[in-house]
Order: sequence, then structure tokens, then C-alpha cells
Amino acid sequence: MGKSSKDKRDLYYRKAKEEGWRARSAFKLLQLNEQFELFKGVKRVVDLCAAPGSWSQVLSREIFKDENNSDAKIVAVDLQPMSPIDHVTTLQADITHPKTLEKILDIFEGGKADFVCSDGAPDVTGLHDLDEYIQAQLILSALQLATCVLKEGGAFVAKIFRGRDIDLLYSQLGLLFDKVICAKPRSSRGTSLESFIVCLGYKPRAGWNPKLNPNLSTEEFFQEMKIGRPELHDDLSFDAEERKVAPFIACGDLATSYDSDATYTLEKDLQRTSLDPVQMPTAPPYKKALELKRKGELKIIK
Amino acid sequence: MTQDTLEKQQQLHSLAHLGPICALKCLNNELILAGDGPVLKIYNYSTSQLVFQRQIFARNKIHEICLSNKNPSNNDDPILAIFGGRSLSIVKLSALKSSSTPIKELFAGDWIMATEFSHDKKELYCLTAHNNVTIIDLTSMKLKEVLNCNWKSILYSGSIRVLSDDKILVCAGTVMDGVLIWDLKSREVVHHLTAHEGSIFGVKASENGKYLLSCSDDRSIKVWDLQDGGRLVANGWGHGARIWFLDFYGFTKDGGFHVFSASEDCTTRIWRFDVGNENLNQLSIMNCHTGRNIWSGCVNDELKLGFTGGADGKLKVYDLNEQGRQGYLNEKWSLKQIGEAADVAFAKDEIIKEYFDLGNGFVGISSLGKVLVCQKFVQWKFLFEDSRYTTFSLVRGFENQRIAAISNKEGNITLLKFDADCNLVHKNELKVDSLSRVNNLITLYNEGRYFFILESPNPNDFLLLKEIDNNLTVINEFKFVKPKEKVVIASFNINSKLENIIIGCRFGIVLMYDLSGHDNTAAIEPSLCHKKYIKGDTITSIKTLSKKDQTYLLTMKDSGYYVIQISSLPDLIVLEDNKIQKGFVDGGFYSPDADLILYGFKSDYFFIWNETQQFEIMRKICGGPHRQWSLAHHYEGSNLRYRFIFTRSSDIELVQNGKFSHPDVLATGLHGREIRDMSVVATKNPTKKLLITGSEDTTIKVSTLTNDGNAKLHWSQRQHGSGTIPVEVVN
Ligand SMILES: C[S@@+](CC[C@H](N)C(=O)[O-])C[C@H]1O[C@@H](n2cnc3c(N)ncnc32)[C@H](O)[C@@H]1O
Repeated sequence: MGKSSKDKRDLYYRKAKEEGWRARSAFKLLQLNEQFELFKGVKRVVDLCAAPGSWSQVLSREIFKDENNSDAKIVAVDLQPMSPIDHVTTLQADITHPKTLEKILDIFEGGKADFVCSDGAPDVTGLHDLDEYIQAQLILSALQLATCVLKEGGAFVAKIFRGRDIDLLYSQLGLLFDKVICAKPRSSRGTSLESFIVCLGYKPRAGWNPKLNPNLSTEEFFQEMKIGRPELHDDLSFDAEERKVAPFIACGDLATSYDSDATYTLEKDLQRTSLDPVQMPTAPPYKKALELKRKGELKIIK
Repeated sequence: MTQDTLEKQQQLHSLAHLGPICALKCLNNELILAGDGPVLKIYNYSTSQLVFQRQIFARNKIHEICLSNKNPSNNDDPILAIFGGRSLSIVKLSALKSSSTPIKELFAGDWIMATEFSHDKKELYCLTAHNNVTIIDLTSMKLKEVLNCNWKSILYSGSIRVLSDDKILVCAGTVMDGVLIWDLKSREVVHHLTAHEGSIFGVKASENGKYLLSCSDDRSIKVWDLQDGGRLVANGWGHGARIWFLDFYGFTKDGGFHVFSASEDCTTRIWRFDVGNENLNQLSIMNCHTGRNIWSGCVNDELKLGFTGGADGKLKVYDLNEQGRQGYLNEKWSLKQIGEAADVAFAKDEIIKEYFDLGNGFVGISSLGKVLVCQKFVQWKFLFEDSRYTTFSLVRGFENQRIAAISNKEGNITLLKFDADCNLVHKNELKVDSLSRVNNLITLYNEGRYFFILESPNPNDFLLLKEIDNNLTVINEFKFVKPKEKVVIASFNINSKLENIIIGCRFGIVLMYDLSGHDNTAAIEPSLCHKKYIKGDTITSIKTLSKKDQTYLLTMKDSGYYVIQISSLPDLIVLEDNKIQKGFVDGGFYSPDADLILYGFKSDYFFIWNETQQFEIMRKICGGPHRQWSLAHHYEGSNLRYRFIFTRSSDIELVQNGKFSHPDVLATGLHGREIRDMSVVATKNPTKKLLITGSEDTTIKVSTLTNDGNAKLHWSQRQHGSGTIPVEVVN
């Protein structure tokens, strides 16, 4: 992420830099907490798709602010490597892989978690249907872990992009939680389709004890759970889909939070300092391609 | 809502889909299947006709089409497996074509990444997004079983290669764990290839199962030898963004092969793999799509044709065997080779300075005044030596007319005429005394007449226009007074009735002289000298568009072009002004189908570009613009034949394309980015409407919309600064 003019004007970006968060995303979690009191009594957390780690930072500061935290635990997982954060166990892995979920459960040593969150977003390809599918799979993987590790009454938060298949997901989540709300923090840009699904009060499905089986894919796991995921039938027919729309809430206290799309006059002392991107880019996979190009080595051979 | 309007509403039905082409497959040597959104289209790629279209899925896009027979003959009835997202349809070609047969949408358990028919064609394998293979029995159309290799993370890409009844390779591209190759029958992972960085976007095994091609977020193409333990054998670097399509073709006896690739960077590339070479060598780059992404491709190995489908909805055809086509030439001569071939001794530091393409060879002059001809573009011959042309000389000529003119500073002009075999048959000498110095000679052939203009750097000198006949004799002369502004001329055009002449200069200055009523002796004052209408650098060419309306096309060095009208002197009306995407424009012309073709230089290459349909016709790396070069072209039917000659560090190189008997484009497409606004205008023709679209790519496009719902692009207007363009029809 470079210093585009948008970043320079974005107050959340400056605030993140000032307050020491690795990414402006921190405010999204903070604002969600303001609205839903997500952190109340929370000690054991799984932060999925966590790099560069600002949510983990927020959680770490919150959970480890008092001394009485002997059984507290934060596990952060991402495809990308993450630099260490106090009190956070990091794991570099693909959350769609059932074996990754197994590893996370191992870290919890059979214990339960109070809160599972996922701020996951795939690298968009531009093929909208594929991007939506992968996004939905990230949510499902997070949900799969949540059903296995959350204590009764625990909370689950995941990033969603409003798209074709989302109302379907609401119906499915409704079967697992007391309350399902779609929330858009003020710090999330209005121009992006991003919002967060906040699920409160986990209630395990009656008569079904979710157990992670690394040999089952996420889809197969949910087929057994009967929450309305499409099933594979002998005659290959399509299932009819049930849809339901979740209530929508914009959160972040209107009086004190900034609208991330608006342009604000900068407070005086902030104006002079030029800030580096808060989210230091980790080496992109195409780093070598850029290097070769710079050296002029990408030539036609004839 | 009244019953009436309700009925009307129900009568609305969708005609066609114009959008990203995400799937392509050659049906045979004539027909290609294209997935345009949820609609399957069939084009004849010999005639470029759209022969069939039918919507397959309710809303899912078609992502791939798989055939039970490769290259079926006319009486075969292959089965098609068509899929996109979670939808799958399995239909016989005959059933697809009969509109009374409904097409069933099936579900194979998950999002589908790839399908392939079993060796005996009785089963269909579907690789799904969590690395399961769903096997469908095609006789009963029932689920047979679901197999996996015990690794069920999400895939970003995949393919299946059936080698025999019981040897089936499943190739799976993961998010962060590289490529997995597993054996369907044993369900064992046979190779786990981890040299890529990032998510894998493409994997494909060769037909014999020896090689595997893959690409990932790291933008490289990798070649693996699956019969040598899955060893990484070559890397191909070059694409500037993610690669969405890869395939093998052109295997040679020595084990090497070609790769055809297409990318988010909107280029298509050809690569060569040679056994033992760890570089996958890039042979050519083609830039034929606009907007973002080329989504799909396919190769016809037998005819050596490539196809790509883009986010812009364009379906482009490529010649994958340019070198093998009849008439193709690629020659390169060093001065030493020319000297030996023509049996002349060149002095040290002597170079061939200027040359002109005669159509059947080219004539050149050395820095010491040696005149040579390269007959048929292969055989060099020494003609004569003329010391008057030492140090400064210009060689010009008349396009495709076999007449050339050589000039020096002192106004000594030698005219040369060649026969059909490129032998010199006539020579004439002229001496121009009225100019203090000759530093510019510009020629024009127009409807059987030969004109040239001579220019001196002295503002008080006249511009001289001369006309010669077929026997190289001067038959007409005019003198023009230069305007008050300092001008340097670069191009001109003259109407054949000799009424007026229009001259293009540097800094966008347009000059015009009225010739009617003037005899050859009096000096003519300019009737028009405009520099405010045309903005930009040198006017590199002037082409007549309509003689009746006096409209002209001007190409501008700095990547713009104008259409102007000069009907009521002394005014000039700018009808159009536009810019191409990039590069310098050195000239342009119209194709027989009225497509605007522009050519020029961009960074280190020369290009020919179809501006109307927005694609690159040729690209030749030559080191950039500052060099001696020549472009000759003509049309054979609607096929452009070109010859580009250029000098690079004293070597002369020539490329001439061969006969290509296929159309370049099957569907022109639109933007390739989100369309923000559009407007449809009726025309005089009841079957055609004008479609005007504005997009987030900041261009406005004008296309014709036919009654079957398809569009053909005509014009792309650039130059708008901001993202959104409201389109409103003014008249
Ligand atoms: C918006 S960022 C998360 C920012 C983070 N919440 C913070 O505050 O720093 C989204 C992350 O999702 C991760 N991601 C995407 N797909 C993933 C997968 N399959 N497994 C694990 N992480 C994934 C990406 O690597 C990326 O770091």
C-alpha cells in the first residue's frame, strides 16, 4: 500500500499510525466492540486471516490489560507471515485446509474459545463469481472452526462482501446463533461492499456434536450438520435455497467517529508529518517478477 | 399494473449477452465454442460468422467447456460438459442445437474447477473446489462416487489429464501449498510441487503426461517434468500481472514445445521450451485486449491458431505459425554480407543510409553514394556509384509504384524506375536551382499521378511541388510562398483534379494552397495556415477520407489523430480528435472494411494497430524510433500484408508477414471495465442501431447493435480524465 492521496486524507489511517496499530482495520473491530460489547468477558480468542495483525493487537491489549489472565489465549492465523505480537500465538497456514483447523484446536488443547473472528479477504481475481465463492468459503471455514471451538453463548464475527449468496448465509447462521446482524463500522469505507456479520450467542445444533474431521472438506462438514448447505444428490439435482435477510446496522459512535469517505480538515499538528503506510507490505509473491522487469531481463528472445 | 402492460412485460426476453468471455474451446477446424456469460456461442472462425447461441445456465457464467472428442468430424455427435460455478450441464451437440430439448442444470457437490471425460467416454470426472473428484456415470446420468487424496483445502485452479483407462492425473492448484498432482485411481499424491510463490492460478499436464505447466501469483510460468520426479525444468518470466490461461502446442521431435499464455496484463505471449534450457524463452507478445484481464484461451494445434477471450468481450484469433505461412520473410543483412552478395567493397565506416521499398525489392544508398537494390527482398545487386550523394542524400519513392527519387543538398535529383523483377530500366536527372538548399523531399502517389515537394530551410525560399509522369519527366510545377510562421513540412495530400494541396507540418500546422486557376509560373500564397485547431507535434500523414466532403485523416506524432474537413475555405473544421492508448503515430490508413489502422513506435518496438477494433496487428522489437525504417503494405482481400524494414546498429532487417487466411477478430467486444452509462440511437437502417457506451475506463465507445443483439465496435474515444462518463445523445 503506497501513500496515495486517499490514504493521506483518511483520518483512520493517521489515527492508526498514532495509536500504534498495524492497520486501520483495528478501528473496525473497535467500533464493532463499541456497538456489540464483543470483548466483555472474553479471554480466549481465535483471530483468523489476521495479518498484518491489528485485530490481534487490539485483542491482546484488551485481554492482557489486567493481571488475572492465566487461562487467556489468542491464536492468530494467516497465509502471510506476521511479525510477533505480545501474548499472541501466530500460525502461517491456509484456513480453508481442514488440517489447519485441527492445528488450531490442538493449540487450545481441547478447551473452548469465547470469540472467533475472521477479517479474511481473498486476493480478488476480478471474476466476481469466483471471488464471491472464495470469500464465502473463508467465512464457512471460520464458521466451521467456530462451531468446533466456541463455548455456548460465544460470539463470531466475519467479514462479508454484500453479494449474490450472502442472504443464503444469513439463514444458515440463524440456525446456529441467537442473533445475527450485519454491521458496517464507520471506519469501513462506504465505497467498499465490505461489512461484518456479527453472530451473538452460539447455540450448538441440538443433537449434533460438531467434531472436526480433517478428512472432510468444509462443505462436507456442513452437509452433515444440516444447516441448508447444498447437498450432493444421487441424481445430481440442485437444491432449492432458503434466503433470509439479516438486519443491517451501521456502527461506530456517530458523535466521535469519523466517516472514512469524508474529507476532514486535519488537526494542526498532524498536518506537517508525512506518514509511512501503516501496513508495511510483506514481500508480494511477484517480487521477483518486478525485480527482473526493473533489471530489463524480461526480453523477447529471437 | 394493467393486464396490457403486464403482457408486454412478459414479452421481454433476452436477446444476447455481451460481456466477458470466460471459456473457449475449438469444436473442430471451423467452429469454436465461446462462453459469453451464461450464453454459449458458436463462431465459424473461417468466416467469422456467429452461427449459434443459446443460454445454458440460469445465472452462472460458463467457465469451461469440455468435449468428449477432440476435433470431431461432421457426422460425430460429441458430448459437451459445460460448467461454471456450481452449475454443470452435460449435453450432446445435437441436443444443444435443438431448441426444443431442454438443458438440465446439474450439481456436482461444489464449485467445479475442471471436468474431463473418462478414456472410454462413459464417465465424467469433475474436480471440485475442495479437491474432490465427483464421478458421474454418463449412461444413467447418476452420481457414481466421490474420490479424494485426503487433502481438502480450497483450490484456485485445476485440471484432469486422462492418460489411459486407469491412469488419470488430477492437477490441483492450492492457495498457499503449491501444486498437488494425484492419481485418481490410487488416490495417492504423486507430486507436490512447491517452487511457486502465492496462489496457483493455472495447472495443465501435457497430453502424454510428461510435462506440467503452471502459473501463480508470482507471475512466472513453470515447466515441470512429471516423468523425472516432478523436477522443475524451466521458468518463464515476462507477464506483468497474473496469468489466467496457459496451454501447450507445437511439440517438436526433439521434445521441445511452445506455450501460449494470456494474462491480466492484457497481453498474449508465445514461449518456447527446449529440453535442457532452463529458460522458457519468450518469442512474441501481442496486445489485443482492452480493459482488465484476458480470461480464456484455446489453441488449435493442427491449424496453429490461438484464440483468446477477454473481459472486454473480444474474441481474438492469433496466427501461431507466422513463420510458416506462405510469403513470410525475415531477413537480416550486415554490411559485410551485402558487400559480398552484391560484389562491392564498402569503405570502413560506410553505411547504408537511406532506402525505399519498391514493392518487389528495395533500393538503398550508402554514405559514399553507392546505389544498390535488393531484388525480391533476397538478392542484393550493385547499381551505380554517384559521388554527388556522398555525406547527404535522401531516398524517397512512390508507394507500390517501383519509382524512387534520390536527392542531395544541392538539388541534384536522380529518378529511378524499376521493372517487375526489380531491374533498373530507366533513370532521369533533374537539377533544382531555385532553392538555396534542399533538405526535405516528400513524395505522394495519388490515383496514377506522381508528386513530390522539395523544401529548403530558408523561409524566403518557395516550396516546390513537381509532378512527373511514368517516364520520369516533369509535367507540372508549382511554387508556394511559405507562410509567415516558420514551418517544417512533414506530409501532404493533393486532390487529383489539382484544385488544392494540403500540407502537414511540425507543431500541428496545416497549410493549404489553392491550385485552381494558377499556371506553373506564378508563386501561390497560402489560402490557409492553421495552427490553432490541431494540437500536437508533427503531422505525420494526411489521408483523404472522402473526396466529396473534403475530409482528411491526420495522424500526429504524439499519439493523436484527427479527422478534419476543409470544405469552405479559409476554414478548417475538426470533426474528430482522438488519441491512441500509447505510443507515437507515424502514419495511418484505412482497411478495405474501413477499419482505421495506425502505426508507429512505442518504447523499443514498432507496432501496427487496428484502432477501430482495438488490437495490435504486429509488434516488432527494433530498438525504438530513432532509426531508418520503412513500412509497405497492401491488402489481399481483407488480409493486410505488410513489410517492415529497419536498420539496427548498421544491420538491415526485414519482416514481411505471410498469408493468413483467418479473420483476426470474431467478436469485437466493448470496454473490459464496468460500463457506467449507455444509450441506443435508431439509424436509417431498421436492422441496426447505434450503441454508445461510457465506462469506468474513461473511454466512450460507439458500436452498431444488430437486431440479434450483437455489437460491432467502431470508435473508441479517449481523453476523458475522470472515471465516470454520462452518455447522452445530443442528436
Ligand atoms: C484485510 S486482511 C486482515 C487484516 C487484519 N484483520 C488486521 O487487522 O491486520 C485479510 C487477510 O486475509 C488473509 N487470507 C486470505 N485468504 C486466506 C486463507 N485462505 N487462509 C488464511 N488467511 C487468508 C490474507 O492473507 C490477508 O492478510
